[in-house]
Amino acid sequence: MSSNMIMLKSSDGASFEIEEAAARKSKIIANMIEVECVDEDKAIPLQNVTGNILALVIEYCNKHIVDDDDDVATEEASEEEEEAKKKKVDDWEAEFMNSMSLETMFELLLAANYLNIKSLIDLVCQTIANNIKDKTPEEVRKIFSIENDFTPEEEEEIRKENAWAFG
Amino acid sequence: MSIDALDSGAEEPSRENMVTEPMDRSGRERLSEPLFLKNILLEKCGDTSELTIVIMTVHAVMLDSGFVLFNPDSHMSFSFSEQIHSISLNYTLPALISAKESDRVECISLKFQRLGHMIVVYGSLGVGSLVRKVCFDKRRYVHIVDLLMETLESEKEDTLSIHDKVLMCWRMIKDGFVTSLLSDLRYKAGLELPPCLMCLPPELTRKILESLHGVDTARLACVSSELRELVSDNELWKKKCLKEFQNVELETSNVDDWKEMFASCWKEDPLLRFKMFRRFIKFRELVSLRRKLSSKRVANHLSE
Repeated sequence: MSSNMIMLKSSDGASFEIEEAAARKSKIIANMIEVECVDEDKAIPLQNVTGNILALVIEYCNKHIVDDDDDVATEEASEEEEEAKKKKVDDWEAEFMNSMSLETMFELLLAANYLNIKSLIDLVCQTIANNIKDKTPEEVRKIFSIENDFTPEEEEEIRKENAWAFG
Repeated sequence: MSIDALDSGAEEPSRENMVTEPMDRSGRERLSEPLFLKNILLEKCGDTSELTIVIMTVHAVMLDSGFVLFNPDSHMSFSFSEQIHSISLNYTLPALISAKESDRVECISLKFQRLGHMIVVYGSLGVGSLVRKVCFDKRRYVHIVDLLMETLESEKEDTLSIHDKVLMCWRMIKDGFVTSLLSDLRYKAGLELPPCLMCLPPELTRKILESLHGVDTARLACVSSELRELVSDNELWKKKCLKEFQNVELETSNVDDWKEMFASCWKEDPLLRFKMFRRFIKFRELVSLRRKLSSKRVANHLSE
């Protein structure tokens, strides 16, 4: 395992040190490392990510790099062990996502998109979808601050059109 | 209007420079919401009346979302006696104060009002604007805050469960109330809107829609015209049909309207409908059961 450390700098000027292996979770950063445009003692500036959000991204990457190492170390792990490990990761991810507000979730999603970290994009999208799941249209409007711009007639028509989805 | 608020804005603690949590190796650690709230309560709270605690909590969430207090008398302390029935506070954004010289600065007005065992918080841009609202059960909430203030670093497990409770309240205030106000104000002032479901890049919105079950997606069409448009994509419904009904015939058949196909397959599958309906009901039962349990717990605690 490479223990090279690299520096990331957020849009608001905070610097973070991160293991290269963890930073490679981001395709953008991995690319930068490939084409050697990363100077050893210079931080990589990330214009679109604030320090708050970058801290979360790094927490995620660090967590998942440890998991990947485990996979290599225990190649002959039994199915049960695999399952237990997967559950551990799932639990961690649930806890991780549970600790943030929707606004933070959206910011994290935009950052993951910018940095191109596919597994994190998937995780956040799934969590946002879970917030929509099993809600009535009124509840969705409230949670996501979406205005109802239908006229009463339009709304009635649309409800009729989708009546099959209401029980 | 005085611009004293600028000073008070600068004095407000920000999450970054209030370090009480150990730093991790990634450098600067963000202060968790419960600790941020605890710090604000310790630092600024004038008394421990229910009204003061609720006001301080909303204040903390407002700060966290980037608001600053904007009041003519900016040197007020956060102390509100039990006699006061309602109180108003104004908030704005630093960008709005510095952008305008003197005239009118757009701000959000919050009104805290006692109503029986509840404290109701109303927020709006002023007369004639949409009013947002959030309610607190006084006793229940103050009890949670009391527990939060008593937490010690040594008792890790207890602390975690209390932090979870605080987080739930925090998210309720932030997601349903403060973020809406932030969008209202930023929209009115012509600033960029905070990230939200409707302003994500299309490929991300698409991904979220793909993660939803067809039934939830159809309900989403009833939310707003923009969502209706997004949800009406035929390719999206084709994917949902193939995923949900795994019918080989479907794959080869020529279908014009995949949403209609989904709806008719759905109607013909009573078992699936039963399962989804049960999930829908279960979710609702769980919520009301949780409410009952926690209010019971508080009642027990109070009677002890």
